[in-house]
Amino acid sequence: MEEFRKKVHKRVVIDSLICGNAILLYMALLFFTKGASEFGKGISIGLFCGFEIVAVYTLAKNFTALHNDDRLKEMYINENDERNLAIAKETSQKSSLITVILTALAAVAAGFFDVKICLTLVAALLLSAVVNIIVNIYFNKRM
Amino acid sequence: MKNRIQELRKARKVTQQELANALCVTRQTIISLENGRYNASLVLAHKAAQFFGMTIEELFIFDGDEDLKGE
Repeated sequence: MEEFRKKVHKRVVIDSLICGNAILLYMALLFFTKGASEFGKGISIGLFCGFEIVAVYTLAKNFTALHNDDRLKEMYINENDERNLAIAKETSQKSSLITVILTALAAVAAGFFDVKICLTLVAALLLSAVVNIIVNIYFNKRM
Repeated sequence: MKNRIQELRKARKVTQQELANALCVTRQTIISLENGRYNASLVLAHKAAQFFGMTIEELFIFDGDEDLKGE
């Protein structure tokens, strides 16, 4: 449990840095999206806001757990419960398979209407395959 | 794989939540184990056997051919 407490403490530090430097991060975001279109700016600011909201939420959750042993144990059990981990693994495997199949079908369908969209979807499929191979090699060496 | 968790838990008047807390898993995991919907890992099987003061073989009943076919 002490190891987990340290892990939660680390999360609190990282979340505090993200939340505490929100204005700096926002400035950096505005700087890097200076020449971007309104749509691009909107998307990046929206993502930034979402990211900050998640950071505030996780900060509050982890901070509360750090100061309450019962909450900490509950959090530890929820995160380390082997059935939950098995469900997450199965969900991840099946959903990525379904996503690949749907993307491939979408790429085929898009081929009839727009070459750009078709190529983008094919590129996404290739990227997904490359990431899959890299992750597979990593775990093959690790286990 | 069948197991005797429910039988032993009831005999010892332990609630699912108490057992879950002792094994550091959620109550849902205990329910799934008791219903045979989920097979415990070696670590959890060991913890459960320790909790009931018996061996893994006494707690979990291995039906010969079930795992040879793969899950």
